[in-house]
Amino acid sequence: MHRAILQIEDLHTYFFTFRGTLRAVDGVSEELRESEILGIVGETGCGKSVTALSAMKLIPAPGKIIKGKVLFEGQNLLKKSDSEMRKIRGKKISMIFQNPLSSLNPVFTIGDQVSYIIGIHQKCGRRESRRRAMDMFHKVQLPDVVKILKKYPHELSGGMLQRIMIAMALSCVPQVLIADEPTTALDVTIQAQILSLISDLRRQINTSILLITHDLGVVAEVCDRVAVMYAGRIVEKGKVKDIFRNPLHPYTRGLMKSIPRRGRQRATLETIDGVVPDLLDPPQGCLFHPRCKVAAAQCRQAQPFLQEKEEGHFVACIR
Amino acid sequence: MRIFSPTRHKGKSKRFSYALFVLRKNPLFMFGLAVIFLMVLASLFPSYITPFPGDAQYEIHFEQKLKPPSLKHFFGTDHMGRDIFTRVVFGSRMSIKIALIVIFFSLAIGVPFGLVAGFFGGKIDEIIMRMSDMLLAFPPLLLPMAITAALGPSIMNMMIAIAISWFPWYVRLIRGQVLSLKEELYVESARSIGAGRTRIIMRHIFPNCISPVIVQASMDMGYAILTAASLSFIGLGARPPTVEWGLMVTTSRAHFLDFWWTSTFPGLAIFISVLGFNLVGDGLRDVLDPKLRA
Amino acid sequence: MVVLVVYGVSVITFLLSRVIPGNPVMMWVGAKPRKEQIEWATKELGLDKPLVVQYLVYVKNLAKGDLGVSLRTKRNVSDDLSRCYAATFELVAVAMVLTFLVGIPMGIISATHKNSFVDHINRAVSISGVAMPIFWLGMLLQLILHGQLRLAPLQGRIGSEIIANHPIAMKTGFYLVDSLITGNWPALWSALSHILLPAITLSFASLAVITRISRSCMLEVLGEDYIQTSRAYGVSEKIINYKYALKNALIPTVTVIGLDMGLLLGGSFIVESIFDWPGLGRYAVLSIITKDFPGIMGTTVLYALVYVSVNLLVDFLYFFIDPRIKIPTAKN
Repeated sequence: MHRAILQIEDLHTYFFTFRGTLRAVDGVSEELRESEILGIVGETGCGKSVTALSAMKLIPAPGKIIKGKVLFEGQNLLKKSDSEMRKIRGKKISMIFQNPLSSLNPVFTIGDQVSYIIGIHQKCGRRESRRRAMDMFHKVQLPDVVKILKKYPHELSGGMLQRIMIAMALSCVPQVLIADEPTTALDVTIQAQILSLISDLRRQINTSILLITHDLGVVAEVCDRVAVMYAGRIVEKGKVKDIFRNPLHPYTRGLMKSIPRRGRQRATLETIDGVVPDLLDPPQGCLFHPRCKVAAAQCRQAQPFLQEKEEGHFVACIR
Repeated sequence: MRIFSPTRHKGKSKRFSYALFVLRKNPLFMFGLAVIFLMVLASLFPSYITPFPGDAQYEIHFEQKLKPPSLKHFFGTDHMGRDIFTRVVFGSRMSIKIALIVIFFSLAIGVPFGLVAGFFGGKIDEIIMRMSDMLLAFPPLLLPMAITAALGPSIMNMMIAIAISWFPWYVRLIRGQVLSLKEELYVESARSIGAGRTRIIMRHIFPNCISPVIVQASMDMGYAILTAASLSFIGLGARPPTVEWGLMVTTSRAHFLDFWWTSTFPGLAIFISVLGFNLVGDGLRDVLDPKLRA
Repeated sequence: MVVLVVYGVSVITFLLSRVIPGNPVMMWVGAKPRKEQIEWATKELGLDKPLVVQYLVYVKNLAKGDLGVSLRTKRNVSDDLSRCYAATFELVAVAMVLTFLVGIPMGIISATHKNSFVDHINRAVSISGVAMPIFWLGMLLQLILHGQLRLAPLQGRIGSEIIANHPIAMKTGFYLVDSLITGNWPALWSALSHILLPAITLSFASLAVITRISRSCMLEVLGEDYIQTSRAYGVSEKIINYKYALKNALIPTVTVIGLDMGLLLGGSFIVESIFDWPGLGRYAVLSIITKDFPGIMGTTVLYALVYVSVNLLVDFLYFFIDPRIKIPTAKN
């Protein structure tokens, strides 16, 4: 039950721009285990989406995957050709995105788009792929399944569109589902529905899910394990229970403290001072030290590495 | 949401030098600028650059007619023996004059109308827009042709005709800008502290409208030259013996098949000058508002 | 709204024609007229009535389709125009086909293969196309392809030997169509070779515009989220480019047809003059030069009407192509 399905080893993805080299992902190693929901949490720009896109080999120019391995089914995905990756994308590893309205082609009907994808991966004809699409729509609890096929994306609500995306992603029963901020663009009530839908489906289909989000609440709700990212690196990772109970990295502690909690009387909202480092010109040593409340002299000198402090709980901090 | 009007509170000099830096790196823009510079130079001091300045006025030398390009006559001679290079250089003076006057009039009429239409809205806006639509309903070139014909073929009438046909574009352009700027917060704040309407228009709205107008106007200078040349080609603008590029092309029609240089060089001059203005306009657009980039 | 515009056009045209210096009566009557002839002509032309009445008469006739009698050809203007329109229509149609058949693929390929050879050619064409004086291009083509290489005829719509030996049966008035459907191959060949240079000249400027726009639309579409989604689901680049991206890019491109038409109509005056093409453009230019004001008014009104209608049509087209736009059901 703890078999790793997807393994990311020492991934480095840089963007080569006019203004310099942007180290979006700088040494990330993580594994996604069978049937688990792994959360990747961090602020905007910390590299979580880039990590996921790198795993799918979808990084556009001027980005380039410099170093690292992504192991899946015993093979390194980064070494695969484009045509080989196309057989994997959407079939064995699927991805859903943050904004479902802009993620679907506005001038084609839902039916057109979804059945086409099903058609190319499952090698079936039009009628059969439409039938399977409707099947999936039922599974994600969409009403009026036949009507939906004929509709255009702008005619449906955000929640319904996200369900459609999930249906599309799971239609070929992939082993891995990557969900990049699936609920950020939705309102809170829909958010809850989508999250419970995702965990239900995980149980039914046995897919492993990589859930990317900036919202700790989402992590607490559905994830089994979580990795906290900051400025292109993982600073803490472990079981959700452990991390929430005992956050070890100063950044993680800062994140936890800044969540407004009901019932507690607080005069001011706690924040983490400072701003996210400029990835074109990162600070020396530990990337977090300029903002860290417990920073010491050694923090400026060397990059801390992930060390196991408790069982299964890793932190990259020398304090 | 901006509380302060952008042009008044950003470091003006810093933006300017950044703009210069970007422009300098753009080779096409520099080429266009060089072309315009050459044209201006040619129009200011034509007699000093050309070997046969008299040919641009009344001198004719039938014994030298239709000679091919040579070291003596860089562009050859026309059917009256006049040096084409000289005439092309003098022609740039006419073209620059036309460009400046046409654009000046178009802006002088179009911008105020556009400001008024956009700012006051309502009935005034309706009337102005309807009138502009009526003028814009004609395909380009038709209206200038018809107006020039009505007023009588001459360069001045041609310039007026082109300006009349073009100012509606500026009305539309400015009006669009004003409409979008009206909603900006800084207009509200200016109003709330009691600024009068004229003040709001002049100090806040107008300065922020001009960038697309500058871009359009610089490109239109080229098109003004092109339109004027086309009208002269038909016979509706410059009349002989005025030196104008379009006129030179049309008078060469009788000979050009056997004497290619008579029409090629004046036409080339038109082409390169319009190109120059276009490239400069493009470069300006990249700097002033990259969002407008095609 | 359209009605208002058309009304405005007619007013403007009317005023213009009345401003034209040169006495139309003199034109009508010819050399050395006698006093009675002048009086009769004035009455005949309705010039003795006040301006407003003249305008009303004009509008009334316009509604009937009567555009007056040309001072130059002495025939009904409407007859003259109906004779000429086929030539212009054919020319503009071929030019438009050229523009789209060449321009759109060039723009698309330029976008999907950035910085390739095609892209550079494309960039050169877009920049030079709009700066190029049409008459110069036409003359250059005549010079090179006719003068030097003898590959194309100089001017005219059809060869004179065709009129003599293989006359085209007039069914639609369009030489290309008529010779095709009657199997008149020598005529078809001649018509094609004659329309080649004028069509290329006419289409060059609009080609530049279309290719630039389709390139930028395509580039914009390729940067959209849903294209990334398609990639994430394993759709091949080829299908993405030519099915999913293309449809999105074509929609704004199509709306440029209206503007394009304007360029083509505007260019028709010059191209027809250079190539001696017997169409509306040449008729208009001749009318203007000879101060034939019914002729001028007639062609101006016709041109404006065509331009406005094409633009309206394109607006309608937009409703059908883009599923995001609904036809407003309640008209206020």
